[in-house]
Amino acid sequence: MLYIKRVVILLIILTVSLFLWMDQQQKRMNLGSVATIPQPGYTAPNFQLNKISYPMETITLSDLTLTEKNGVILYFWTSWCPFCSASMEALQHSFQTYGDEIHFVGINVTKQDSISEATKFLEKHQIHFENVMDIEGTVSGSYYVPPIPATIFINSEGIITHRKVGAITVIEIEQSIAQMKRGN
Amino acid sequence: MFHPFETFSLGPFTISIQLLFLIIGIFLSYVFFVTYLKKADKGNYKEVENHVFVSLIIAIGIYKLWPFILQPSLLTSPSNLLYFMGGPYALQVSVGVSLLYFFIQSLRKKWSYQTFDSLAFGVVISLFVLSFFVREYGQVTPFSLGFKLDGEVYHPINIYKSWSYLILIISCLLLISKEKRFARTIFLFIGILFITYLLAPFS
Repeated sequence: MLYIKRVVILLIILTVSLFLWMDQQQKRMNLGSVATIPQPGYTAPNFQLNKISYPMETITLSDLTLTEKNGVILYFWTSWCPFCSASMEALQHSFQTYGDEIHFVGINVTKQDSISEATKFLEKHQIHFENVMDIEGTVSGSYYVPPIPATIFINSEGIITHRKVGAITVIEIEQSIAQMKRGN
Repeated sequence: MFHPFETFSLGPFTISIQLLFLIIGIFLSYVFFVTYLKKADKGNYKEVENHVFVSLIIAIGIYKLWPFILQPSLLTSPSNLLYFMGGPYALQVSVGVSLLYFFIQSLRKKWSYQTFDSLAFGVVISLFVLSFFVREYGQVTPFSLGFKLDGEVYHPINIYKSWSYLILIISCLLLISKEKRFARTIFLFIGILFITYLLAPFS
């Protein structure tokens, strides 16, 4: 038993020493690159998709983050999802308040929906912010969507500050926008 | 190891990998908690178990109803009860209130220190399971070992964490006497804080 205890103590000392040494090496290298992963704290994967309202026009994420606005809100949705209806109205409400300072982009997961149903959905809920079509589902896939709806908050440096899966309320959008601004 | 936002589907049910392993972690913690108390020969483990369940229900209930507390107008449509949950500070408030409930019960019923020891072990076991299975990327590493992405290598934070939590569990079981009051609880609590501090530069 004493032998096992000694081995455990040695393991603790080795582990702590290793992490401290790695910390020193890390500081010397001073590497600051941020990975492109669809989760908070990392760079949002870039994409280019066609608009639903004007299919010949496209929206590119990197173009949006380069503008003077404070960031981008991406909202993945489908027309058949009841959770999407509930939070689409909250997003439209927030767009009326924050539309001048934040980009709002709805991404219809068209691979699991249809363009006609998506258009009807936007008309029914009187949505005025831009919506694009993900026909192949590649953008949704790169953001690990579904589950639907998913809302991604991206600051002006292209870093994801918050990710919400499921229906979202106006208060949560406001709090996430404040968090996004703090991250700029 | 899985990406936290990957989903696992079974028929109509879809669950994120992160949530799935959190549930598995909590289940394993519960098994350990009951076994530990039984071994410590504490006859009141059924009573403690009931209060753990009540605490869990309080946490889930607050988390679920939190949007309606912040925005009561949502209650005008009953279907919203199905759609919304969580939100700003929902996790902190729900966990805080359930812990407060558990703490008050422990004072009222004068539970033994073994109850807290077993719960502290349960927390570390959950953290171990979650970090072992769910991938967590850190900063770019100067070493060749790590998660490779877009030509860069990143610190595998979850591997560092799972190794540290494993050492913490083993060392607590072997080095800290179960007879000393609250010694294991304090050791585990300080251990979690120390691991968080030690790994912070890589996150």
